[in-house]
Amino acid sequence: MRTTLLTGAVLSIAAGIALGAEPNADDAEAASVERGRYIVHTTGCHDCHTPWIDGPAGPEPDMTRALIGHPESDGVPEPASLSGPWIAAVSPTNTAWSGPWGISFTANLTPDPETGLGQWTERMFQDAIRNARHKGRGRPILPPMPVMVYKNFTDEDLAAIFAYLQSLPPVRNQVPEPVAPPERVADTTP
Amino acid sequence: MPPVRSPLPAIALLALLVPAGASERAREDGTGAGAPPDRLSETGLYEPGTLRLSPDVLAFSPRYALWSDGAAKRRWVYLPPGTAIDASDPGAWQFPPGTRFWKEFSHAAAVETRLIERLDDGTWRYAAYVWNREGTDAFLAPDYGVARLPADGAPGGTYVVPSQEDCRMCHEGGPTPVLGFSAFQLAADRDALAPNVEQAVDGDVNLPALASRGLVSGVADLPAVRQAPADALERTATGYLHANCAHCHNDRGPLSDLDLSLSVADAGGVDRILETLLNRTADSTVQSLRIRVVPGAPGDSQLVARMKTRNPNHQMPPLGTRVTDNDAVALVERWIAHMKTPEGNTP
Repeated sequence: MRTTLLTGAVLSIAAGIALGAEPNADDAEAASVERGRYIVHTTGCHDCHTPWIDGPAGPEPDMTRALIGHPESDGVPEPASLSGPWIAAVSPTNTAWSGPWGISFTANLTPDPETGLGQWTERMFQDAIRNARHKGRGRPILPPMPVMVYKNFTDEDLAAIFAYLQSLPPVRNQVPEPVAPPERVADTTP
Repeated sequence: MPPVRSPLPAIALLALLVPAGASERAREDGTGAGAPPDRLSETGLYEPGTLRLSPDVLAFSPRYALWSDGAAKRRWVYLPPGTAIDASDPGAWQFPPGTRFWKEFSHAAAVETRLIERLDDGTWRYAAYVWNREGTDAFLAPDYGVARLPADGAPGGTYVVPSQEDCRMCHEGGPTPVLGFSAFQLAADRDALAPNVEQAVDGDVNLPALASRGLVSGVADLPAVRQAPADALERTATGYLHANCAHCHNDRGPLSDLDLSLSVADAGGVDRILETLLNRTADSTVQSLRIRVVPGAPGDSQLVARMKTRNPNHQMPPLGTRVTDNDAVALVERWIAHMKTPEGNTP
C-alpha cells in the first residue's frame, strides 16, 4: 500500500513536470495577462486613467474606479485660464487636462464594448501606441499621454497590456471627446 | 478649473516637455537591410549624375488622386528586369522584391520625394527625401519627419514631411501598402470630373500598357475590378472616397471592425460603400452629427463635416492635409444631395 502511494505520488509529480514542460495555450494567456498586469501597475497607467480622490492620506487613485478614464459624471470643464509661465492644468481627478492642445480626457481602458476598449483589437491597440493615434489611425492621441515612451514597448509587452486590460471587468463610462483649442476650431470649422 | 493639484507623475511631465515626433523612432524597420540611401540621386530614379529620369522607371498617374493640400505630384515605378506584378487580386496586387515607387510633391518648387521599396525579404521600406533649395538633390529626412519645413507656395509657407509612423499609418492599413497603383486606379477610362487629378501625359503607363509590356500577370482577372456606380456623380464621388479614405477604411485592414468600407476594390464595390455609409451610425459624434451619410442631406452627414473641418480631432483624413479640399467637398455634397431620401424622393 505504501509503495502504491509512493509510486502514485512519483507519477503525479512526473506528470506535473511533463505538463509544466509544455505549457498550454491557457497558461500562455495567463502569463501574458499577468505580464500585462505587472506593466500596467509599474508604468503609470493608473496615474491618469484611474480617477484620483482626496483619500485619508492625501490624493490617490480611486481603485474602485480603476482605469475607467475621465468620469462621465464630471462632464466637460471649461479650458484652464493660465498666466505666467504655466502651460497646462489638470483636474482634481487627474483625468482632464487643459493645455495648448485643447482639453484632453483620459480614456476608459476597461473592455466595455461601447465606451471602453471592448471593440478594439490587439492590432488597433498596438498601432494606437506606436502611431499615437486613436484606434491606430484616427485623431492624434493628445498630451499628456506619454506615447513617445510607451511606443518603445515590444510587441509582446503591448499584447500583454492589451490582454490584461481585456481581462478587467467592463465599466460603462462614456469619456468626452477631446476639445480642440478655440483658435483651431475658429480657423478651420466651416 | 483649479491649477495643478495632484502629484504629477514624472512621465506626464515628460510628455509635456518632449515635442511629439522629437523622440527617436520606436522600432527598427525590421528589414535587416539597413537604412535607405542618404540621397534621392542614389535611389535609381535618375540617370547617374543627372536629374534626367532613368529609362528604367515608368511614370503613371492614378485616375483618382489623394488630396495633398494642393501640391502637384509626379509618380514613377521601377520593376526589376524580368519580373511582373501578380495582379490576380485586383484589390491587392503583389509586387516583386526590388519594386520601387517614387512620388514627388511640389508647390512653388519640388519639396519632397517619397520612396517605397519592397525588399528581398518581402517587407516594405519607406523613405522621405527633402529637396535642397538649389533643386539639385533631395536628402533623407529624419525618421520622425519634419513638422514645419519652410516651403514657398505651400499653405502657410510650411510643409509637413511625414514620419515613419505616418508612412505606415496610411500604407499599412489595407491589403497592400501600394496605394494609387492598382487595377482600379490604372484603368484606361479616365474620369474627367475627378478633382485634383493631373492629366495623364504621353508615356504614362496605364493598365493596358502594363499588360502589353508583360508587366502584370493574372491579366485575365483584371476585368474583375468592381465598380458599378449608378451614374457619373456616384462614380466620381466613390472614386474620390476610394483614393482618399480607403487606405484605412476598408474591409481587409486593421480598421475593418469599424464596418466602414470606402474601397471600390472591396467585395461589393460601390454597393458596399453605400451599405456602410447610408443611414449608418458612426461611433463618435462630430459637430452634433452622428450619422455617416443622410441621403439627401449633406449638412446632416458626418462624412461631409469630417471632410470640411480641419479641427485635428475630427478631420478626415486625419493626417497629410491641413487645408480643406473644397472641390471634393462640393462633389460629395452634390452626390449626397441627389441621393434618394428614405421616402424614395430625389430632392
